Amino acid sequence: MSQFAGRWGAWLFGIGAIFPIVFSVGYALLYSVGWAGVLADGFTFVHWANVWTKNEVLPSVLFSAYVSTTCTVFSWILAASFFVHLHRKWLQSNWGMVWYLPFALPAMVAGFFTFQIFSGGGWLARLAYHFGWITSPQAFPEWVQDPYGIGIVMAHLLTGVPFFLLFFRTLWKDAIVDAYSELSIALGASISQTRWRVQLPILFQRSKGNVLLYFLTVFGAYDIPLMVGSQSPQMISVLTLRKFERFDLADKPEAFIMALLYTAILCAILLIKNVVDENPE
Amino acid sequence: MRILNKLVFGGLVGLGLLPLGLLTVWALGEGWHFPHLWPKRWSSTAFLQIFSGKMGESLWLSTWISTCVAVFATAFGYITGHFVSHHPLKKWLLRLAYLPFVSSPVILATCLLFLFIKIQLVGTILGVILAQWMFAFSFAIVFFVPFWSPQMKAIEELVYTLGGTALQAMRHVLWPMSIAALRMCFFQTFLISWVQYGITLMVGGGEIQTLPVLVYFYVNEANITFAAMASLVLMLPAFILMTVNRRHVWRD
Amino acid sequence: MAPSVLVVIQNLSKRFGNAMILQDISFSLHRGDLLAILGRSGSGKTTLLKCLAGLEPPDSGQIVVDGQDVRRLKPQVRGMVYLYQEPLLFPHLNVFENVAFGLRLKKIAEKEVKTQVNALIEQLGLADQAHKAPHQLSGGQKQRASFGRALLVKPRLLLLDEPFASLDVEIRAQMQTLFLNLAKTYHTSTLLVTHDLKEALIMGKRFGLMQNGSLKLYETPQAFIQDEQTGVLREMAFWQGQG
Repeated sequence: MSQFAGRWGAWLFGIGAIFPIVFSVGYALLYSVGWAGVLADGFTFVHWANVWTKNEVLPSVLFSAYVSTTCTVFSWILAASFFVHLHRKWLQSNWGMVWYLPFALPAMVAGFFTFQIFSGGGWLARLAYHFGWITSPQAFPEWVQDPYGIGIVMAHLLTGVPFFLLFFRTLWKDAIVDAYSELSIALGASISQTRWRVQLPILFQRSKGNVLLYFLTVFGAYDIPLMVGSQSPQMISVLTLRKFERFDLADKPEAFIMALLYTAILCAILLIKNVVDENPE
Repeated sequence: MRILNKLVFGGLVGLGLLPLGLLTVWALGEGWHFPHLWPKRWSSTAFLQIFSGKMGESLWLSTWISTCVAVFATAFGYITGHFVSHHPLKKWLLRLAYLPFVSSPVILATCLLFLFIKIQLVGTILGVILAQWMFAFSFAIVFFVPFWSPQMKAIEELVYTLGGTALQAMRHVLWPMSIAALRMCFFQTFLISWVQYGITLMVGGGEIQTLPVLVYFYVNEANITFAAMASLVLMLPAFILMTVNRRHVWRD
Repeated sequence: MAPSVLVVIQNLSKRFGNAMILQDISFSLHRGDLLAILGRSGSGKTTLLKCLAGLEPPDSGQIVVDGQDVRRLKPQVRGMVYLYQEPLLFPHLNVFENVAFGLRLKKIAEKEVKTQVNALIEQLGLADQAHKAPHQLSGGQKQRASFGRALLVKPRLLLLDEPFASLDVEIRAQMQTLFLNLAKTYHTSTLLVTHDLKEALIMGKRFGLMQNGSLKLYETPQAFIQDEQTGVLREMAFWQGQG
């Protein structure tokens, strides 16, 4: 296996893992400075300059960062609170496995489900109508396709909370949290002190790498923001593709500049993840 | 307190079941207009069309594409994971392997579309398989690197010193020890491909209508019944894996 | 009649990057011999064994076994089994099949396999465990099965890399005695490397000390004991002081 893998593995790694990234970054870079694509008129920084003046790209990056942070923080806090309070049930009861179901929701389905629940004509709006709180779909608060990204956050929570719940389920056993908790109680801590000083810090310390991965997943998400996101601001993946597909050819280089910005942020977060993984303390 | 805990846990279990329950209601209902909480009438139209018409075509197409992606990603990831795992620059190679896996498929596909156009793979099944394979392959490498641990290397070497050839080591030891990991990787790469929307839309040029593309199509048409039924079909492989093979597939 | 020479190592050297791991190692080993090499971790003991087994290529030097230079031979045909501290029983095979593994590779007839494996399993005290999976065995039982698997292929030289390090004191002592008996029965030649002074003294017929990639051999057990660097005298002084 060693010789075979040494020979073929190197080729496969080069073609399958390195080439797509190198080609993408290289092509995007060339396109952004006018050396590739339909607008290849020679070297120019004009597209880079346009990006900062149009007031579209930066808000999109910031909006994506805000949505990802909100989703990550809420998912983690909700999952950790549920798990720490009810860990015995999660670990012992087969009903806990029910949470595999929403975890398995494809992003497209999570988006669709969220829309059907939270939109003006959705299920909650109908409930509100029956309770007499609203009289028409328009009267229901704008929770999807809204400027604050509420719909996007809701849809991501649908899969994010189960993701962390299931991760904590494995982690709890691997990190022998029960043993640490018993020790803490034997040393005189109350249940609440044990939660705050032992259980939650262990969960946090051991899940930092996954927190960053989850952040990245939301940061680059496309399906959910496409379905329940607003027209402005748009998340980075949606805006990149929209710019790429627009009839105005001047928008195409900006799509590639966004791709480069996204890659730079991605690399920075992966570097942080490496530092976190190597220095868990 | 105990009763409160039970109530909260029960509520959470109910919440976990809610998506499946409501999607089923929507898929089997018709005439679900505002302000009705439940559909006016029940109908099996969408259910009966799972294996026929547009949904049937998408189902077979998705199955075919995802199977190809999973087979090639798992096989090549198995070999490449071994290469990365025993390379002196393992740490750096692994970081590079992570990149496509955590990248936004849509953004990466935007940058690669030119290449797919040049090699005339846009709008073809092969193009979609290749594009999805990149992400699944990257995942498979990351998956197999820890599998090819120093202990696996020691076991392989032990077979050699006991007189076994490379082929015997593979057939009698490495392969039987790999089956569980290969199966797990196959299922997971299958799912990665199964739910891909953006990349399929771009490289498929709208002509390759897999299930996620169909769900979006039905949602745009405001055909809630069919969108919900297609969503349930889209969730099916994950459910099958959970019930049949829960312990093996999801453990890691 | 003096036993014939089995292995001759001459000027074996190995470097990883800038680090010199093995430096001009030379020694010979006779048939039925048990050479115990004492050394701290990082002294190059494991690399020496891996070079002999064919799992690491040395940079220079000769490895002659039965008059044949084996440096270019693959590990499969060198007839040297390398065992290290983990027993590495194949998890998908039961104890019987693990022990029989080498014979299966050689496609020996089923009847012969059964006879040989059952006899050895009996000797190893594993008769009740033959059909158990490796994870059902204790650490000592696993190590016994691992020795059985190695001995059954009748290696020209057995290379043991800290084989008892993961066992507790009592089991380790039992295993050392068991191994010596088995080695005698099967006329096995053995090269053992260990960081455990007591283990080296119990197991070895001849002794060596490995430090920073260099090997020092001792003509007699007494010379090994008397050398300050081996630490035997310090150990003895400590225990005498305790008395």
